[in-house]
Amino acid sequence: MSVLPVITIPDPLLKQVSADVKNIDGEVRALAGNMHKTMLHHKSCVGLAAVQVGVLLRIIIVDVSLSEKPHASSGCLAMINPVITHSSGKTSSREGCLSVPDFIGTVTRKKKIEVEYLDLNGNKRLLKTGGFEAICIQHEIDHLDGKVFLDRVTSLKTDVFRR
Amino acid sequence: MSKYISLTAIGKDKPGIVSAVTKVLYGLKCNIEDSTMTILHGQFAMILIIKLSPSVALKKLSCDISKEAKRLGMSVSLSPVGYAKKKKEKTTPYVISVYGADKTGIVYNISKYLAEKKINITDVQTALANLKTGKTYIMLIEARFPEKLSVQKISAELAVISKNLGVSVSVNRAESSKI
Repeated sequence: MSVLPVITIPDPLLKQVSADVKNIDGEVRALAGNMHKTMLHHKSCVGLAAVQVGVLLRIIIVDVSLSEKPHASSGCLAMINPVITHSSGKTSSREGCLSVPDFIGTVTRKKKIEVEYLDLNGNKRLLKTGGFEAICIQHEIDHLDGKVFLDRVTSLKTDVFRR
Repeated sequence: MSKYISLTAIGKDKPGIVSAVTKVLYGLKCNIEDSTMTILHGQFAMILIIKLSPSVALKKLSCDISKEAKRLGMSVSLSPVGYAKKKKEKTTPYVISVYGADKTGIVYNISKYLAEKKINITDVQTALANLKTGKTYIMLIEARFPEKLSVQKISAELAVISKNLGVSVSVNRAESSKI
């Protein structure tokens, strides 16, 4: 397994919509492994989407237990073709991103979500979650749809900008 | 009668600027009503709205501040603030995010369009990030849209302007956070 280079804005790949994974084969599992290693390599990184390492496939890795602050966590999640089927509530928080280094911004997201996805063995899974983990999953799914948090900034006054 | 004065000062950043300037204000019993102070490209910039004490002449304040600014190596400017009667037109706040490879004309072309649409810019923050992939310019605008405007239409037209500039643009309803 190796640490992969992470692309940053304005790389045009970050604006593209990623494609569904058709077959969960050895190649996909190896990519997920490398994404996990890449996430661990960056201090306090809690999530990564495949596009951030230059692959336009709908794969995300999330582990909010890696955060400096404690959060309720489902552990390390590797999600393939994740889809938010239900969501409720609203919450605003500060977000940063490896692909937008040095910046943070206040973003509004859903408070609770239900996500359907495939695990690395191809099994269909459903996760009901909230709090920081839900925020993180929404942030990563945004990447799969060609969006970074800068596309969702909703406030300048409260706290924007340089980390 | 009290008078409101704007005070702007800018100069090379170093410790002690805020205290030196506000010491003069405090000594003359001038109250700071509002302010924004930040470092821009290594220069410390101050914009203050102050209420002049009735017992102090603007000339005296101007003289004392100028002396201090000279010592600090800053350029300074003072001027009385007039308040026009506000027209009460219904507006809605939005945040416009613009980012992409840095080039001349991003701010002008976006703001020119907003001005044409009578969209009032209330806040702008910009930053230049020196990334491995090159210089990325980020601009966040807070602006009030007249209610009769279609946000979808504005977004679509901004997208065309941005495409020509080679930057990304997003329009989001500003969060009026209540905590």
